[in-house]
This record gives sequence, structure tokens and C-alpha cells, in this order.
Amino acid sequence: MSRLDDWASRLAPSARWTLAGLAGLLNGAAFVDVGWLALVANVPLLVALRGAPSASLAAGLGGLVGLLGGVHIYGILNYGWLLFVGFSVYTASQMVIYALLLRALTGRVGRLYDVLLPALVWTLTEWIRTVGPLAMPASYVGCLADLPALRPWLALAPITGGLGVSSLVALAQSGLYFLVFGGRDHRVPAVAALAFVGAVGAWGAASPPPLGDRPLTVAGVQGGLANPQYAAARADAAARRDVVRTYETLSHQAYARGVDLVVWPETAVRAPVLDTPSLRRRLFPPADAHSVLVAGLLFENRHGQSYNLAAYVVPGGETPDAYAKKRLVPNAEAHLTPGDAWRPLDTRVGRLGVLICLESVYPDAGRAVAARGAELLLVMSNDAGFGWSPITRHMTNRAAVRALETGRWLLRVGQAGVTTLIDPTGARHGQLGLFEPAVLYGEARLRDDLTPFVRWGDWWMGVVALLLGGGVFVSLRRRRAARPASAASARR
Amino acid sequence: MLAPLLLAYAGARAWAGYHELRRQYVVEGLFRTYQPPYPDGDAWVIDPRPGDLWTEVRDRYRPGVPLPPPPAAPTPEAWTRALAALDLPAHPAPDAWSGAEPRLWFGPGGPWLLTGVFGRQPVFFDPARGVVMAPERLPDAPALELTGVRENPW
Repeated sequence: MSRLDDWASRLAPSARWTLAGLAGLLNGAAFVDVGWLALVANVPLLVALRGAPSASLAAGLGGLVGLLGGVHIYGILNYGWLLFVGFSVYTASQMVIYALLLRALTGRVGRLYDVLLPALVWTLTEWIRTVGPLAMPASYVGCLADLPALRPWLALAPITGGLGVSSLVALAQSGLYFLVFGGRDHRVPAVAALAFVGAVGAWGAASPPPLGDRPLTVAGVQGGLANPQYAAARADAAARRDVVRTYETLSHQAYARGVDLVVWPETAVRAPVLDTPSLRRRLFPPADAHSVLVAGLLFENRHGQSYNLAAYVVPGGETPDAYAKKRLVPNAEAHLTPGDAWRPLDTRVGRLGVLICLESVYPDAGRAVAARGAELLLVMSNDAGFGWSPITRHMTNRAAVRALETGRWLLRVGQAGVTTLIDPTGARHGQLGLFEPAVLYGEARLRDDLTPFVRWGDWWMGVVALLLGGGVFVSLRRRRAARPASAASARR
Repeated sequence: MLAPLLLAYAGARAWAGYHELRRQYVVEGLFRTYQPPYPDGDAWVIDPRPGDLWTEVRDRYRPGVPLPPPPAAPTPEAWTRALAALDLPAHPAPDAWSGAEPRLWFGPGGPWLLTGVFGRQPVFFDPARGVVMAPERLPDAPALELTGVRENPW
């Protein structure tokens, strides 16, 4: 037993809880505002788990980390306590899995495996967080997506998905931990892991993804209104006219500039625009305009079903196609009818893959629209409910991961913000401030090639599952083999 | 040593988050500044923008028309004469307000402009507060109904 092992096994429970608390706060801060902390966030937890005397203590330590990390996304409180508590408990449960698997497998397979294990287990838990109705923003790749210095590592995303970048972050944590606390036995694999992380960065810097070659001028219209203005607009025609006039004015600025594509945020105008000729005339591109519009609207059909809609509008006001939000926000959008499929809008400026709000948080929707031919991604969001809370940053970063994974340019348009244009390397081309009424102009490029991630989806998770399964298998075999030997030596 | 620091940080973060979530937003809109809504007794001031009632009537029902001289007094009679100059026919309101037609209400604190109902809650413009949503119908008081007058909903 190394001196460090000895020290770790003698750690008082209070010291372990303190270290877990530190890890939880570091994870939370990384998720909401200090992204680079992700590179070290779980190191204190790995120390706390070392030599943990019981599985229940390990589970508790992991749960504390998940809970503290989860509650940092308090911005969703504006969407209800249920979502906030559910999300935090869900995040805690993932970290319980993390802690228990680490405790069960560390030291049982091999030194290199020990160093890989935190990355494998983190990848598993992060993947689980993309499944189910409570899947919400909490990924290491999302922490890093707006840090230019770490952009080379994001080049892995078109191959493995954002999940692979998160694996790399977790591997860096593990490498650091074993380098400092792992003792002599683990030093070589730790250095190898860190060297591998460095090599991926060097490769990413040397081979950025292609940016595409078909230019398209775009404009994102950000009304900048807060939820109280929309609430007032429900009850008062004067407030409603303000909303309409805001989008009318900003949109016509964009039409007059002659951009190819104008995009509104999610549910920008909550009036029956499609059924009201006067509103169509005022808001949609006039017949002599060059621009087409993708308009975020609420739409109620004649059967009384309401949809969160992205309507494709051509000059003159016709709407040849529309996409209805498929993945609705649990509880908050229970009154809406979901759309039937993720599919791109086939427009005269290209095939546009629309993701509405929550849909951009998940990898599956972006992948599906890219696989079906989307050449540009549009993320239409509201985000006014998050106010100035830092969750908006992470939501924007999660959308940026969709650009990385699919190799597409992505225009994100938020009602309150953030409105930004992101290229396939993750670089931002302009950004509007929160609650700023303005138009973001930029030039995107269209691409139609398919990245390995779009072709093969969660193959990286498959590799991780194989490695984890292999570790479990070897660990069980060794335990079984050790049992007769120890029984025999006891008999002797 | 570490634990107090963590507790202090967690406390500071919780404090900041609490205030962030409770923060009332003043939004600089394209055409005007939007103040945050606030409760006022049982009512909600949903769009705080104190202003001139006479201008509000013109802006809602005769937008673009030059503003005639305002009513000489806060009485139904003076308002009836002034409204005629805006080509807005006004008559004494016969009964309880259904919300179908706008009204000028001359109760305590009035006159207020009753613009519509949201659910069952009356919505009105009070020059001292802005657009207000009351929890229940306003008390009986002299009122003028703007007969046949419709506000552009958009």
C-alpha cells in the first residue's frame, strides 16, 4: 500500500464529505459560468472516493456532488420547482452510479484501466443524462464550447459526438488525479493519459473541420422582450401591438438589407399570424423581397391543437412548409401537441434543420436533421424565462455542440438571447446581448457531407460500454479466481 | 479549513441566485422602456407606464389622428364633448360592464379607461399606474361607453 493509499484510507468521513462538496461546487461552477473548471472538477471526488470504507458512503459522496452540481442550474426554477428538484435529484442519481462503479472497479483490472475508468464511467453517466424527460444541460463538452483556447479538443465532436469530448475532459481529470495522488504505480498510465489528451488537442489544432463553401447571408431577429411583456400582451392589445411592431420593424430591417434568410426566435409572435392576412402582410417578407423567413409562432389548427411552430415563409407571405417542435418541455408545454418527426425544412435557400429550444440540448435531434439532409442548423429559443441566470450560457453552449457534432453552421436565435452564429469549429461570429432588441447579421455556409457522428451516432458510447463491460467481466473473474485461493490458504 | 470556505461560497452563490431569480427586469425595448409588473393591493399592474389618459384613448382608438384639446374636466359630460372631437361616440353606460365595448369609468381615482377583460378580470388603463388587471369587476360608478369602438388587436 502506498503512503497515499494509507493516507486516503484514513481520511475521516467529514474530510471525504468536504472534498465531495468541493467537487460538487466545482462541477456546478463549470456548468454555469467557469467552464474550464471542468478539467479538474471531479479530482476532489476521486480523492474522497479513494479507499472509501463502504458502498453507501461512496454513493452518498457521489450523490452530494451530483446534487450540488445540479442545483447550479437554478435558472430553470422559473419553469417550476418540479423540474428543478427533479433535475437535481436526477443528476445526483447519475453521480451515485459514477461513485459506485468507480468503487467497484478501481484496482481490479489494471493500472491503465484504473486511469481510464473515471472517463468511462463519466461518459456512461453523461450519456444516461441525455435519455429521458429530465435530460437537461449538464455535459463537460458544453462547459468548454465557448472557450477559444480549448477549441482544438472540440474537433473530436464530429467523430465521437460531444460525448467523446466529455470523455476526454474526464480523462484529463483522471490523469491529473493519478499523477498527483496515484502513487508511483499509476504515474506512467497517468502521464500517458495526459499525453493522449494533449495529442488530441494537437491533432484538433492541425486539422480543423471544413467550413463549407456555399455562402448564405443570414439574420437573426432578437426581439429582446421579457416574459412580462408577453404576459401583458395576452391581456392588453396595446402591449400585443408592441410585440408585433417590434418584430415587424426588426424583420423589415433585415428584409431591406437583402439577406438570404431571416430567422425569428421561438414563439416570437403569439398571435394567429398564419390565419390573419393583415399580420402576414406586416410581418412576412413582401413579394419583392429577396429574403425568406423562418418564423417562430404558436399555431392552433381547426381541431384546436396548438403547435410550437417554425414556419417557412417565402416572399409574398406563402408558407410552403413548417416544422412543429417534437420534444416539448415537460409540464410547461403540456398544452401543446408535439410534431411528428425531426426533419429539415426544404427551402429555396437550402435544407434547414430546425431545433426548437430544448431540442438543441440533446444530440439526437441535431443528428437526425443532419442525417436527413439539413445543410444549416437553426436553433430557435425563447430563454427569457432564464432571465440573467447563467443557464443561458450553458444552453447556448449545448447548441454549439450540435454545430460541432454535425459539422454544420448553426444560427441560434433567442427571444431574450443568446442570438449568435456558430461555425463547425465552435467559433462564434457575432453575438447579441441578453434582452437587446436587434438583428444579428452574418454569413453562414452550407454543408451536406455527413460527419462520422451523424453516420454512426452513439458508437462512442458503444466502445465505452464494451470497455466497462470488459472491466466488469475481468473483475468478476479475478474475484472468483481469488476466492478458492483464499479459501484454500485459510484451510491451510 | 476548506469546509468554511465551501459553505461561504455556497451561501454566496445561493444568495446571488436568489436575487438573480427575483430581480425585476427593466427592458429597453425598441420603442419604449418596459418596467417590471408589480402587485398593487389585489390588482396587478401588468404594464407600468403612467401616462396621459387622453393620449391613451387616442392612441388606442384613433391612432394617427391629431390630438384635439383634452377634456376640460374629469366629468362624463366634459369627456363626452372631447370624445366627439375624436369621432368617438360615447354614451352613459347602462349596466354592468361585459368587456365588449371600452368604457371610461369615473369612480374613485378615475377616470380610467376600461379596455377589455382577460378571463373574468377587467383590464384598464389608470393614468397614475399604467395598464392594470383587477381581480374582480370595478365598483359601480358613472361610466361612458364608447359604443361601436374597436381597438386594433395587433
